[in-house]
Amino acid sequence: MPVDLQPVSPREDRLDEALAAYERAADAGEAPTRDSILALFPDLADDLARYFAALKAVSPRLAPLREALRDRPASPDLGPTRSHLPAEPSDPAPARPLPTIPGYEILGVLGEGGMGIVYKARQVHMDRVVAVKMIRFGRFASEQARARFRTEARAVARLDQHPHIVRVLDSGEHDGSPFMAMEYVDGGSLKDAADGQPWPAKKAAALAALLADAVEHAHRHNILHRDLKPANVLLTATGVPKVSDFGLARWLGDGAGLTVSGQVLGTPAFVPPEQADGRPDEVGPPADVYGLGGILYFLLTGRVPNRAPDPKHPLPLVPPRAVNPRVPKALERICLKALATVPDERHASAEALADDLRRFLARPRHLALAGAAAACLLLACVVAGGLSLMRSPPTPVDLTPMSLSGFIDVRVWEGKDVQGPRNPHRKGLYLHQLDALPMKIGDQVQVEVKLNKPRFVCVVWIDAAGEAKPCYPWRDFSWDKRPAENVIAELTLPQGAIDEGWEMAEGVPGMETLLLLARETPLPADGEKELRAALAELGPQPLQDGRTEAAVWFENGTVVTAETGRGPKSYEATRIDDPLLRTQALLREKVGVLFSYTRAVSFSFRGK
Amino acid sequence: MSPSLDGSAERYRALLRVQVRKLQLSPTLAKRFDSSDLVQETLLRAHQHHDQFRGQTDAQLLAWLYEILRNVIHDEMAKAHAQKRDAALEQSLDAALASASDHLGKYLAVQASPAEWAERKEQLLRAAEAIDRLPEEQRDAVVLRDLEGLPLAEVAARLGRTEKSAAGLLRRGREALRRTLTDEP
Repeated sequence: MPVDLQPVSPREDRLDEALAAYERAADAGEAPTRDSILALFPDLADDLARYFAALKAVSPRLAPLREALRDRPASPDLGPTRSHLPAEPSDPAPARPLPTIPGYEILGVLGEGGMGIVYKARQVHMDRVVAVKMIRFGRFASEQARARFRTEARAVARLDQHPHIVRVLDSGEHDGSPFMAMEYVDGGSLKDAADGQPWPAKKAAALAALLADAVEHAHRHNILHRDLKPANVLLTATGVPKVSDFGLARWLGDGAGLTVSGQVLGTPAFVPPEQADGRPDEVGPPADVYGLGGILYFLLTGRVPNRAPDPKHPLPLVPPRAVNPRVPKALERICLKALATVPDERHASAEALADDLRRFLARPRHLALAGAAAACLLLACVVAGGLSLMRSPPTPVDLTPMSLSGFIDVRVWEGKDVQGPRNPHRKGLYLHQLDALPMKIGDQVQVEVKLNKPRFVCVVWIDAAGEAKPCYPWRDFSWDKRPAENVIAELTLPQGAIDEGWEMAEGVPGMETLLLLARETPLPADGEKELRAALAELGPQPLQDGRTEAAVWFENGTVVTAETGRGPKSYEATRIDDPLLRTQALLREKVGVLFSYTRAVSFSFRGK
Repeated sequence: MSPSLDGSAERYRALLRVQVRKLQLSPTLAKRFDSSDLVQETLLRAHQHHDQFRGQTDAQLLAWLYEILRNVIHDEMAKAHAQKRDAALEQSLDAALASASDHLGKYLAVQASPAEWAERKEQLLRAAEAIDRLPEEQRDAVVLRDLEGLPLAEVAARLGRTEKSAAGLLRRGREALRRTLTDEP
């Protein structure tokens, strides 16, 4: 084969520089346009046009090969044991006939991955839908692959009846091809539930604790999972997590364990170094603790804990808070401990990790309160989810991991003299970051909302005089001409603004409130009337005497404040006459009975 | 081997070569088995042991060829590293091949009309042949960028080139592919 020693002309050199810039921008997810590259390298217009034409012609011709040789599932839809392929074999001439297994009626393919294919099937004598897993190529498969498959069946059968482990209902062999029938779990996988969409810390911690329980259960039955990752955690329709895919399971202390892993290269992010290095003797319970830590990391950041490129020489992990600053420090510590490179530095057992997570969940949130300042402003943000507006009873406060949830926060841009967030001297902090308070006159605030399931959202501003004005999706602060609400997952207010915020006004008496409602259904035509009536009753509220600033957090629908050293308190519980708390309680009473909010923050501030 | 089977196996030569190159370029496996005769040896063994093949479909044939390829690689590594066998590496290789074979089998088995399927397979094999014929470094750049989907920085690092120079390899590789894969000049 000829060696590539082609000389490069100065023009080509410059062309390659332009293309490198183009490819780098594409890698950064910037979707570079040709125009933007042409603007940078106008002298190369002809060459670039020719090249882009070549690229356009070649790309689709490489696609089948790229897909065929991709050793990971091509799309989330093809992830292990997940089901969005056609459920019914409706194609009159399927390329691959469905298998037959006596006692089962195979209905279609649910998903493919690892070493097997999972079918949706009806178990005839029980008349129930099950997932039937079979080994790829059945009797053509290697003996090793079959042995691995049987190991999985035996492993999971031993773990029967754990609420967070997918149950094996039946297993056997037909026509030389082993199969197992499992509980059918139809809510998708955790991978889809959190991909790119971080979960609120507590919800993530609660779910990770349940998974740690399940893994501890497996360990007590001397079974290691060895392939814990979001794609292998299935969710039921009601959000109950279940660990699945024990395809790489190994008996603890069993020297004859199967050590070949089909996943080591596929998902290195969730594989601990000792496993990636192929030191099977060192792979013990801490390896699964690492996998759990990886899942927690994924939930907190929406990203895999990638230490790429080389799992054998891992780079330091990017801490969760660097990706998502809303992650509490204590939870980050737990996550990083579970992901320690050295097994001995991780939690000693899955149970220890579960305990650690539950200690975190039980502790109160602390938020420093500091003092300064004349005008009083309250910004209240309420993430609300109602079933059907106004008429329905409140959604009960739901502590299960899959309760409706969202995440909102307030970003404070410091100082009005420094214009625009692009100014490097301008400092933006999220309110939950402790040093975001105290704010000063002239500081600008922006509200950012991220909902892990897109919702209908509307926003109402209640000014110091107690008058409620709509500000989203209404454009001109008028209740008339109301446009239809959009389903959104992310919103920055003021609407779409990156460069501006609401400025902290000087000398306005009273309290201002911003109310944000995220709902499963849009407001009905006359919904705002009731909303306005409820809001009008709030009225202006001063701060408690002697207090210049305060902040309130909502947790699962309960108004909670935490002052340093004093722990959380709710207005309902303490009846302490803190106007801020009282206002929030009123909001909850007037609005929260109609909606249920999962998490929100509000704060109050007295100017100088 | 029946003449038709023999011919089918031979048709997969370029595909297997691209597959092997893809493995050779992966960071864990890089440079540990670099014989270019792996595919030749694989097809030879397939020919010699054709009576052991029991399947009928393309997917089964490929799974079988991958199995043989895996044995060939094992033998090759046993020879090359007789003094210091690396069990972990062999396992990773096994895993990578099993996973690749799995995926390819799945790809081939995905439901489609016979005409669509034939067309797609044709495209796939043509692309593999075109890539296989590129000069080595261009081929590697195309494999890493267009098949593996790696960022340019990573492509450059694996090829030991600067990003600009990697972009150049990619450019020449893609231009050559256009000449081979399309009728345009």
